[in-house]
Amino acid sequence: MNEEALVERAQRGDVQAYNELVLAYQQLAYNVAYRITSNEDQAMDATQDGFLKGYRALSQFRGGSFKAWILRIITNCCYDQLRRRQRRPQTPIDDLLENDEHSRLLEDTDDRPETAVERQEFDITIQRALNLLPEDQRVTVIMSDIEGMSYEEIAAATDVALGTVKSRLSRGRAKLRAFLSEHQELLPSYLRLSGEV
Amino acid sequence: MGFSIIRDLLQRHIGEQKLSAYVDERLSVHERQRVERHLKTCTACRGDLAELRTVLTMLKRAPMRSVPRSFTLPLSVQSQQTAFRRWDKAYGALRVAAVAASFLLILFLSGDALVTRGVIPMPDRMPVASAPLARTMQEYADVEALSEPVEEETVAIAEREGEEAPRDAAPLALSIPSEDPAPVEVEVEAATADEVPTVAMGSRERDVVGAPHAAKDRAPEAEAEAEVLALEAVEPQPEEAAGQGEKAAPERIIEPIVPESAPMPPRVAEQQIPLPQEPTIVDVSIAWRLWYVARVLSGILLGIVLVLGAGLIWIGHKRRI
Repeated sequence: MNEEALVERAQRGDVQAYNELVLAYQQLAYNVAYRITSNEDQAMDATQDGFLKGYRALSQFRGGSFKAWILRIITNCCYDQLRRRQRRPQTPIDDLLENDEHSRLLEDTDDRPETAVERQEFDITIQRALNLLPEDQRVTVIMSDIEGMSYEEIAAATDVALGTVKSRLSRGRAKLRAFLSEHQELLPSYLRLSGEV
Repeated sequence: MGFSIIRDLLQRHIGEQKLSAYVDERLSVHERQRVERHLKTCTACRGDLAELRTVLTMLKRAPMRSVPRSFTLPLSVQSQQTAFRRWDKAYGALRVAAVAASFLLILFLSGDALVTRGVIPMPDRMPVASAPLARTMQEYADVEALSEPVEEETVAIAEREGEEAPRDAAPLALSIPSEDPAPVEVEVEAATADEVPTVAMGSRERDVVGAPHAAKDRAPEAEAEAEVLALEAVEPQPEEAAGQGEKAAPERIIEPIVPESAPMPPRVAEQQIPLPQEPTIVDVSIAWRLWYVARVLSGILLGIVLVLGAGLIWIGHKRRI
């Protein structure tokens, strides 16, 4: 169904129409939330809070990209989760990345065991690299390079100018490149940084 | 063409931002051509570009996580949303009310502060202020006329005691009760027919009226003089007040104390309380007091409204995005 029509119905209070939008974007929203928070539970909480707040604030939606709008709400919920974690520090992020519960999802594939382990290590390395970035650069890199969003969508989702998106992206990528070139042994052989081409 | 190649060679390496924009195809045609010319000749920049592309490939291949559960909302949210929208309307009204309350609060408090500090004079302060003193002087003259024998006796006592009595030890005193603990007194010195009585206002002495015996005859003059005194007394004299280290009372009511019985007690001078140096005579009407109290109460009420409004706005904000 047409997204605009669903949004209009949802704005009139139709929960079922809104749930169709949720189903369309929950995969993207959850992955963005997970990459920002590095924590499964917090990502789930942020995604659920974000969709609920989105439903309540639908009257304020003035058209444009619903995807960017809902991601903006979910990103703010992620920031809330991160601040909550800073106030009440629990398990360090690295421990979260390496615990069994975290890796369970990665093993939930049809890959051979060696491939699954490699994927898990690769995922942990990527997440460690992302965690080194400041929040604004991390969100921009996740939206652009992991989720494949355009500059315009990222600018709308993060409420900044296009130039800011460009600069955040370039700085974030530079830091990632520096980190990954230092930790090449953690990367799959076909993805190691060679430098000279 | 050859010139542009030499220029590119002389230029520095491609910056991170330009390289990133180049990968995303976000450069203008002219900039892209310059970058590509530079890349043909610069090995280091080609290496940076290759690394950047590898990083982007890695990020694109980062495993997508499956959703652990559905995030769809229950149907009960719809009824909650109806209540929430009602609250949203009330929230808007509360915002307006809070802004209005803030404005009124600032207005009232600043008005109070300005009036209290004397920047804004009290209404009818100057014209009304002279009236009580004039009335006082008139009443004093009447009282003096009635208590003439007593005064004569007092004068006789004073004469017997010679010069020991201080000059301001007057046999008759008009005490001026006020809110200030230190009473203000307007004294009229006992005098013989030849002497001119004075009104002692602290350290200053001013000629006010004639001899007590002629008080009735000179009542209009006393009234006029009293007006002048009142005007002078209302204006504070900072150098004298500072010298005494006392602050003049802001509001005083001058009321004559009319003796209940005709005979005055002897040696009244000993019962006198020292005068403040700079008495301020100000009229404080009941209407003014009521108005002031109303203003203060309004300020307090507005403060409460403001706090409640701020609390509601905060709660509303927490319920929003």
